[in-house]
Amino acid sequence: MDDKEYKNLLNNLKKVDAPPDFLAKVHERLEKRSKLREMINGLFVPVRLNIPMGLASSAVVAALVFLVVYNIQIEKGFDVMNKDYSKGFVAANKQEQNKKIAKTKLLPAEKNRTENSILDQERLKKNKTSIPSSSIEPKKELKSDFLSEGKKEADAGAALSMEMLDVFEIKAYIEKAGGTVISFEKIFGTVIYPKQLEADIPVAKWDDFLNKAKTFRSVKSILEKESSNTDFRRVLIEFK
Amino acid sequence: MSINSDLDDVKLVESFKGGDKSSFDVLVVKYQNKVINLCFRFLGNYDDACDCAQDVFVKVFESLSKFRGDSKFSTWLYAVTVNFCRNRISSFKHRKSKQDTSYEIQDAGDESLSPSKQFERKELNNKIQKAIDSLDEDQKSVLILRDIEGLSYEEIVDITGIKLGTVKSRIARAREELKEKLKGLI
Repeated sequence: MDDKEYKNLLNNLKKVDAPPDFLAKVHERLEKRSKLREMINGLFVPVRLNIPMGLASSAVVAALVFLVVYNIQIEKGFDVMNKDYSKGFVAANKQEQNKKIAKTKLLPAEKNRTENSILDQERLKKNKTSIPSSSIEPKKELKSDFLSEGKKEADAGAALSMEMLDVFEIKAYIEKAGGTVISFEKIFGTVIYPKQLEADIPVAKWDDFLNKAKTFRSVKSILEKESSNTDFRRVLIEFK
Repeated sequence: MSINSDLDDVKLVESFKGGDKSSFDVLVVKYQNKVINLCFRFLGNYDDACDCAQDVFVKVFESLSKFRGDSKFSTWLYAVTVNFCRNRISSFKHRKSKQDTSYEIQDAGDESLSPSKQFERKELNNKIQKAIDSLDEDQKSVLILRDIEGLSYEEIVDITGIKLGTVKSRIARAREELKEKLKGLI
């Protein structure tokens, strides 16, 4: 195909005309678009406030940093708690298991004792020379072995969860006795796991308080601090 | 495009910017056939071409106030049209490979020709359009603008934003390819 033929072909291509209502349709579309635009503009009403942008943006950044740091701390706190709780649960479960094992192991001994008591009765009936059943003791060391092992672990586990309860019990006790809790130091920004407690105790209740406080496992130390108030004595309790 | 016509366009655009919206209608009426034809060559379907041309004019209405007059209005209008067509083609491809595109032109035909001649011409048109459609997208654009719309190389450079040398080489390659395809068809 030569250039002339090619040009002829393309020049003779049928031209199309616009439909008669073309302009009207364009206007229709424009109207639709303007309505849509009005709606969208209505959603974003301009706020006519003069806000210093530098200050506003630094405030926003500060708020974001605070939120991020706060969340990280809370998460850390929960991690520590979860570890402690899981320790407690594991220990408690072990205790249950050990109890069951101890019971099972004791069965033959119990059986012996029952048999012995029956024997005793028979012997007593015959010639009254039987060996007293009390002299045939079950293997107590076996029982105690299992129990002490289970108890140790259970105590360790329970202690962890009880310690946390102790703290709140002490706090409640102080408040009930008319004292004032001054500070309640928290680890990781959460009240769930406090570390120290500072309080004013009424002088009249001081001895009772000391006796009570000593009974709590979670209390690591009790220190008396100087206080200007003569009706109260200030105390700092550290928890384990 | 004559100089007078270009001057008219400048006046119409200025009066539109001044708030006379009726000058937009004048521009639509003046260019509607050109835009529809260009769309039709790109899309190969009359209805799609009309639809696309309407979109083009809506866009023109919205952007005309930003038109700085660095180029001729007609060149700018062609650039908008080519962009719209290319976008539409890519969305067609996305949907489906053009659902067996109809190349039917909705017209009454040339009454001076006999029915058989009319039919032959229609068939020829369809074949040529098919051959154009089968070209690579970049080649197709420059070929339509140069050989069908009759624009100058400089105008094509302004419309497509491609370097003059690239435009020329693309047109040459497109012609060769189209000739080859038409040879088999006609």
